[in-house]
Amino acid sequence: MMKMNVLPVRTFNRLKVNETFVEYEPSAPKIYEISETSKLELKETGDFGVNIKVAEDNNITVVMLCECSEAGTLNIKTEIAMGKGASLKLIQADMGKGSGRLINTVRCTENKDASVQLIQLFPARGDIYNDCNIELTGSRSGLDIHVAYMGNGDKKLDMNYVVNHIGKNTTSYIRADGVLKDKAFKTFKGTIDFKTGSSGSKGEEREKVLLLSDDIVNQSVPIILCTEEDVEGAHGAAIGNLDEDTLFYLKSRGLDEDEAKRLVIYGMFNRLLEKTGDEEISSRVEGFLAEAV
Amino acid sequence: MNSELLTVKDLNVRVEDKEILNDVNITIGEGETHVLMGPNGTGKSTLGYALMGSPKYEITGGSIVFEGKDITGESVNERAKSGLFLSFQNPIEVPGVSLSSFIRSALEQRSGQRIKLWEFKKKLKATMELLNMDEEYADRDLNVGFSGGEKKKAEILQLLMLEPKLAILDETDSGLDVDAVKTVSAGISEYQKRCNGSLLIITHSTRILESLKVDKTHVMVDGSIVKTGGPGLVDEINEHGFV
Amino acid sequence: MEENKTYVQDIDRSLYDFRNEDADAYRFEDGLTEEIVLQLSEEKNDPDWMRELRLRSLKLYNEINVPDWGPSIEGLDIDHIATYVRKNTKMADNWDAVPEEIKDTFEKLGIPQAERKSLAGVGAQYDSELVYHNVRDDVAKQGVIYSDIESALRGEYAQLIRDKFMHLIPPDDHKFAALHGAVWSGGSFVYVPKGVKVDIPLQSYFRLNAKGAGQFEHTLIIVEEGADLHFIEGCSAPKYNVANLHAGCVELYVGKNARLRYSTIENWSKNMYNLNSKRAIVEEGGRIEWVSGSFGSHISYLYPMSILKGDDSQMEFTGISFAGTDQNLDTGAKVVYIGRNTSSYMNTKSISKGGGVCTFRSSVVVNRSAENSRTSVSCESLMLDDISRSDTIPAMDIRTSKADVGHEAQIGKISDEAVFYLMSRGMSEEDARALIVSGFADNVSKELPLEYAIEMNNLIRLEMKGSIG
Repeated sequence: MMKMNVLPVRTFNRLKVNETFVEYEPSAPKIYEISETSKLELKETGDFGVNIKVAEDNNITVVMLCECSEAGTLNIKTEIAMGKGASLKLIQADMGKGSGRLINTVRCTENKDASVQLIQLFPARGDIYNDCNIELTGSRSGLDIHVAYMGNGDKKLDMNYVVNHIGKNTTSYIRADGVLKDKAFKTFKGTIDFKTGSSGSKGEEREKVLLLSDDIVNQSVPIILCTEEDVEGAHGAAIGNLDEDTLFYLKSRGLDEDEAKRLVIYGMFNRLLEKTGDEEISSRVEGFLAEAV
Repeated sequence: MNSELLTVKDLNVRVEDKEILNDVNITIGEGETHVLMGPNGTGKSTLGYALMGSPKYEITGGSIVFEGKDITGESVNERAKSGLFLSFQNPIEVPGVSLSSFIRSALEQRSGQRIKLWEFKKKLKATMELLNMDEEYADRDLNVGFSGGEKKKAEILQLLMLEPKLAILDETDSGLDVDAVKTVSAGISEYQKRCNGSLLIITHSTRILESLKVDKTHVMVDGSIVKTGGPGLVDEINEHGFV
Repeated sequence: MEENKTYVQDIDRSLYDFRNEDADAYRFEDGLTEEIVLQLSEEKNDPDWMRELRLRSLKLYNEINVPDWGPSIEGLDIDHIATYVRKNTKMADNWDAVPEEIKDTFEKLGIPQAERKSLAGVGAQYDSELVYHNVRDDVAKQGVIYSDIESALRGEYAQLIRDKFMHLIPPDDHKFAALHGAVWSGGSFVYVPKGVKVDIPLQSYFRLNAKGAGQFEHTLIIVEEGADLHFIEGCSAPKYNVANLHAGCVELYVGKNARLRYSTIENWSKNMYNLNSKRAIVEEGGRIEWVSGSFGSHISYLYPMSILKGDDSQMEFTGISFAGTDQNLDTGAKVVYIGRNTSSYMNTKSISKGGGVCTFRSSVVVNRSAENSRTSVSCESLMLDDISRSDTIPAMDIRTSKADVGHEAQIGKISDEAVFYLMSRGMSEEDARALIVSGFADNVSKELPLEYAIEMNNLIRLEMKGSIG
């Protein structure tokens, strides 16, 4: 049993969001050491450790294609150390087959002036357990997380993001867009924690969920913790069906309801796919979407 | 009069248990431009939304006939496909969907066939130039972060690209500066020329009408058409008000 | 003009902090045992079912753990809390009959004046018992009942109370609900018959005077179909250096198309553990409105819960918490959607200062049956220095696609530009900051009757005094 996605502060037990237990026993991982721009394909099942070290003032892009086999489990732990002024664009895309399950853990510490852009795409059919913890230790270090997911079938998505603002003038932005249909069960927990000493920092989180079925479960826990005066934190969540005004507007141009929904669903992924700049990912994500929508 | 395009007969509309329109009658012929004026809150926009088929507006009596076909009960997208267009007063922001891909989707849905990208892009570019719109707006998310003026121009851009038979322009001139009014007005003239399009222009100012040929003017007060006249009525209203 | 500004204007801390010697009080041994519970039950002449409820609750209390979330309550030792304290006096419905010392206490707090000015009825609880209860004749004539629970248990509505008492908040809900069930004493019963609109508020005032004691009052309000009520609750206590405990229960039944507004200005002293439970159930077309100001207590756990059972039922929650030195206020709201076309609107503000901790905690549960429901949550937090703490911990659980859920949270500090602007008009920095904080709190103050709004602003001004280092 793996305990993961632990909330930094507990809340009402009745909601069952304080932590997640995953039935899985990890074994010794196969380790990848990465310090240059690279593309990693993690296939089949098993345990992997990806250690990314970005040297001072280096700027690299790492693409991780996670392609779990049908009904298997792929357990990946990525540990990132960002040197001073280093910058990393990390793209993690779940390309799992069938009901293959992805357990994805990210641990990251950032030195002064470092910046991390984390793009996560979860369009595939299998369950996702995703636990990201980022320590903005160095002053002016920055973080930009953008995740898009598709929840269909009886997929379970359990996501936990914890951003600790430790250094002065650090910034974070988390954006999560997703669609839930059929019997999907999604938990999204996002914590922005302004620790003492993080003055001048800013953190923001935006969550958007499009609900398309009455058999779904959507849980959202957007937390802000703060022990510092001179900070700005904001959270926003918009959860619901495609709103009537948007639907009317799109239909008034001749789109039917399905087409309007399709457009909005693709819209949640489009910009993110552009950001990846990776054609293979784009076309495969579109493949998954076409299947799901 | 030209052959009838739109015939609105004794239309009664209710919004959330409140009667807004009473027995409205308007007939618009092919290629004609009609202006609907009247004080604020009198039901002008309601007529626009009801003609377009918004589910928020309940039609409690009367009928809407478009090209000889009763569309009173038709869904909004069917009306759009038949050639009706509404320019929104407050266009909706749709994140993730670019202006150009949206227009292309709409065109494809209307015609039921794929549109060739090259030709589409050429036409879009030329039309945006006509409207003094920066080309980069084509790739921006639909209306997201657009200024008031850019949103109105994006509506006129859709009008010119989709080429409907009848366009209802709901306060398209409100909140625009002098230059933007001129640009939008030029766009509307282009629509008249390009598609021999009919227009129902809802407005309470007359700035947008200056360079347009108007066939008829209607005055709405408290949900009823109280006066219908020729283009001269606009000047009359300017001098004497709506009463 | 000054005259009209009423009694609360010259408020200062000494107004709440005075205490009376409790030499002549009847007081139970500290702690919680079956003997004490049975003694209490006998003292109160409970019906059998109530005695059984108390014993069952005690058993549950011993079984249930303290919450593993929220602020620490380690400083609270129930073995050193007296669960029952009363003055040797009987309840009065005539102010003159109230003992001099207690009368003096409530006069200082402005209770009888408030009744004369703007209330339809007043209840005043001193330690464990109500000492005064009165309702205006014209209101009573409409069939409105406003009495202590104990006498209501033997009155016309005995069966109704039995059907409702601790049904919304059952003793097994959490440890302090169990504690309440075992040792509850005092509180109010309000019954508003069908169609009756009480157009001026009823008020209860709770005063815990005894040192190291607990107050466990129970408030049960039933607002029948189409009826309308505004109920105001005020609380205060003098400061002692040992822990006091407040574990009250408020159960509100809002009938079809009825409306109930429940306002609280809580100003317990800063040695108080305020572990209060409030819950409302709302029938078709009904509406519950919570207005809540939390200023006092050392530790608070307070999340009024609304169950939107009927179609078209509504909830509105407006709250503010102000935590200063040595305070940890964990407050918020819960809402459960069951009926169709239901809606809730939550608007909260919190202010942390001098090392104080404010936590906004909420839970929104939208069941599958709650089609076409709307939820809007907005919470804003203000940090007045860098030694305090402010946390926002909302949770949402949505199980229908026909829901529209919006959540916005913000945290920040007083804008330097705003302070500069006010100071450029000649205001001192302290006044400027106090004014901005009062403005920040206006979501609540504008929902309160004038007298209470003034009292709240005075409390804020008091808290802001000396806040400029």
